[in-house]
Amino acid sequence: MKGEIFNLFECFISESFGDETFESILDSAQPELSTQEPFIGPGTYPDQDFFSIVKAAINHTGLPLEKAAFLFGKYCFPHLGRKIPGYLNQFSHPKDFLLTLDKVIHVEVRKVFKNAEPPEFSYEDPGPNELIMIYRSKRKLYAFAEGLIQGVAEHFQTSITIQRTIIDMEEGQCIFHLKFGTSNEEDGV
Amino acid sequence: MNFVIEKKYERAHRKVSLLEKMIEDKTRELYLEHQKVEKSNQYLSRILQSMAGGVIVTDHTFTVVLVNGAAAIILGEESENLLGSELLDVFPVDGIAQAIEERAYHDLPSEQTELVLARNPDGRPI
Repeated sequence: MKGEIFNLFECFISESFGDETFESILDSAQPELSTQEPFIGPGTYPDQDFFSIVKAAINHTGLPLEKAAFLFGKYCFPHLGRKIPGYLNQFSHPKDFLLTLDKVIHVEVRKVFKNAEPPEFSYEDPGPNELIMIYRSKRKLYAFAEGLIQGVAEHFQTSITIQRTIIDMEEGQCIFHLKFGTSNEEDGV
Repeated sequence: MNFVIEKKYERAHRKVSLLEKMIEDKTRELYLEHQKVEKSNQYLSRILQSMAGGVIVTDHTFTVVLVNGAAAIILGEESENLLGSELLDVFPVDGIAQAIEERAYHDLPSEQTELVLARNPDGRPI
């Protein structure tokens, strides 16, 4: 996993629970980490190191894993979005943006971050206010992906209701059925 | 609290060192890749220049951007004098004008910007 995600997790924990909590989490995870150096954004580190830190975070904060992964995904989107402001601004609706995730965003991620292994997405388009995203990743970070999608919803100020169905636990395949509401701006929110 | 800040500072400091090292490595990698590309360009250029057949390369506006030695001999001009000229001024034969008209440059697939106009000196297709 890319160091960028480790660093965002540090920021997420520090901002939500304080620097001291993060240091305690890191200290307790340390014996299980195979990486002894600090994590740097462009570096690639074992997934297991990330999961060890997350496990320690769950023990320290009491957050259930599912909720922590979702909140972390939601936290990540604005930070990752800042890396592609010009691109993101081309879209006025989350559906149009999400449809480019696999063929544009993740292609760019692979160019910039050597050895990156972002999840694969395929799509079905059942109607104008719906989108089916089929996620595939051996990491099985379904709740994290769902959090990211909610981050997209917040960015575009458009509500998205997500129905998640895991279709292949072994292969890490999951369907996200998205239903888009009206934009909050239209609602005058 | 000071202890926490100290640890964070220490980690940030170490990160900077690691990033500096990574930049140095990447710069070295880039330099070596650049050398490889340069070598490969020289190799291809030598093949092009030593070919018996004349080759003229233009950009999409049919301005000459490359002329090999054989083409310069066929046209009786120094290569340098031909660069930047319009293809039709360099090679004013009916066949070329017709080929350019028929080229349908805009109909080329987006990933393809080359069009080969292989012609005899009198403009007839080879």
